[in-house]
Amino acid sequence: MKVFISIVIKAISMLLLALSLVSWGDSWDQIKKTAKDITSVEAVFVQTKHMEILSKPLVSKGTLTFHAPDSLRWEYTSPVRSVLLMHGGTVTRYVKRGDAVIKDSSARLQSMRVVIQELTMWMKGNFDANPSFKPELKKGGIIQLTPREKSMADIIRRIELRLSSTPGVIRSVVIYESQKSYTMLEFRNVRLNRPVPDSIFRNM
Amino acid sequence: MRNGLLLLALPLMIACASLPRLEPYGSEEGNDCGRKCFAPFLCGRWRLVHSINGTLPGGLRATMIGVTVADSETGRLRCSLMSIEGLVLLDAEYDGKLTIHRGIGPLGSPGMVLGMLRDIRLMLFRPKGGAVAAGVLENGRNACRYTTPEGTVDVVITGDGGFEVRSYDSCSRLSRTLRLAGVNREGIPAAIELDARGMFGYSLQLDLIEASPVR
Repeated sequence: MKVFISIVIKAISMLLLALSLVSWGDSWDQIKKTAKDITSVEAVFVQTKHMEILSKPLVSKGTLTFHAPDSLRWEYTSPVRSVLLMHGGTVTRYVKRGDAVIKDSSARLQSMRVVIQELTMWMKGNFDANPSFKPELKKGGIIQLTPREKSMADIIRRIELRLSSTPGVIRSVVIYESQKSYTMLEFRNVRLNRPVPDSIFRNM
Repeated sequence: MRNGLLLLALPLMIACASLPRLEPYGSEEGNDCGRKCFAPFLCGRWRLVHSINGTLPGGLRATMIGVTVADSETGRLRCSLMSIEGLVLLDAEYDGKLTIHRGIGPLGSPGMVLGMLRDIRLMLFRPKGGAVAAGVLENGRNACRYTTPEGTVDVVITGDGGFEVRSYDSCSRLSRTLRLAGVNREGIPAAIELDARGMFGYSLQLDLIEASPVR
């Protein structure tokens, strides 16, 4: 019994600690202020795609490196090995197939640009920068982005971001395309403000 | 001058070609070859996930992830095409008639989607009807020939455990070539390459990520 109570007390205290830390996501000003101090983000991510056609979610894994103001390396290690590089206003994607490296044109697609550009904005705490989406800050560090126009809503119904208890860190992003189709991105092992060489945003 | 050249080229463009010569087997060898020709096609209902690398007209290259639920008994297909980041660009179904649940940009066009579904059927399903002939091609490879509503399909056994599927239109012009490698016991290839000929030719390379039977 004593052990049980001790576990419960520990769990409650940990929860309280987490809740107190979430306070960085209580207001837009607070979020922007915190994000201002972030120069770089490195993380591992797990992407799970849920769709009616799939019996179980399709899981992709990879790493993310961001350097302010707008350099991004978005690398998938499985199931398709690919690297998306964003640096100096250009977006390039390379796909590895066996030993071959193929330069891919799909990053140029309008719909893909939306996702990529949003990512770099979020890293900077700019959740209200895109006029296509209406941002809403909800309790518990949840940010909901809803398209303002039907043309965008036909592609993305809403985006939900959950802030981590660590200031400046996004815990997960869920992109809803319809009720039955959504993509969840969960970020782990997040490291902030470490020096990142420019070359990783230019080369494979 | 240009019009003159065009007029000269016109008969060449519309002239029908002839199919590659197929030296027929005797009935026993023919039956054996016919059985082998079934090997690279789905049997039953399967869910397949592929990475798809496409070279499109104009040289653009794009990699996507494709999910297909295919039923070889009914010919029913549901397919979805998404970016590596998970953005669904197409979700369509064909069960005698086409239903596009979601189609972004050009993938909202029924004509384009029907063309894609034709390619998927060619990749996964045995050509409709039985083989009309089985024999040896001029290059020495064993092959089965099927007559389909669209034209003719040759299934060629390439000898390295792989297969080649050649689709000819009603004028016997080669329109699609498929190379199927690493075919497993369920008739599912590990890799598929498709070359589509014509004015807006393209090529696709599909690598199997996972395959699971659908109950």
